[in-house]
Amino acid sequence: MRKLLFLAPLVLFVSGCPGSAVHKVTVAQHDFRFTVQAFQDAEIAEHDLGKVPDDLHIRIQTTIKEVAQGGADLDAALAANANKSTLKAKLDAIQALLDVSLKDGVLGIKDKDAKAQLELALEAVKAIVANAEVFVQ
Amino acid sequence: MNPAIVVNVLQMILAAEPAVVQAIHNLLSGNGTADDLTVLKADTIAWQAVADKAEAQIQAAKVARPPIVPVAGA
Repeated sequence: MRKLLFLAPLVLFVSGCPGSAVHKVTVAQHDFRFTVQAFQDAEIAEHDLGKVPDDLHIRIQTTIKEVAQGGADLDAALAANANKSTLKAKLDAIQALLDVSLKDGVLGIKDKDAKAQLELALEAVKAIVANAEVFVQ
Repeated sequence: MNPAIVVNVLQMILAAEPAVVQAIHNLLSGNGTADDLTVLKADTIAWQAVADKAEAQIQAAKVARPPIVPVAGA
């Protein structure tokens, strides 16, 4: 049910949007950046409250940094009208980084509320990327 | 799960920047303008800001955690 809630804004932005795979991924990519920023800010807030230990904070922010670099790289590929296979490879790499952030970072948080909030925010990011991947299959 | 947390996260996700989305639409439909390119460039710069913020957090956390130095013979 929670995943459906986060897919709702994605459907609003993408469902009424005809056009190429590049166009559809471009639209989804902007939701992607905002959800990554939301996840980053939420994680920093929980760390500042003492609910995320430093070692996990470093691991999570490291993968966020790599995701951001992947996002900028995807932006450049979209602007250059890259083909589907190129876009898919970049989206797959981003999804792999998000999985690392979840497995090696968020799931290790002991505070239940902080873990639940961050897991929710991260699932929103993953859902947007997964939907963008559909357009480049 | 605190419902307020769910609402906060959902509100952040829904707060999209229409100007950026419109710029992309315009560029891909061949109706791009210099303003559209500026907005697109700003979006790319925003990614760099995310990366820079993450790096600042990483460095601050490393300073806060002194490295563990193994003691010989221990």
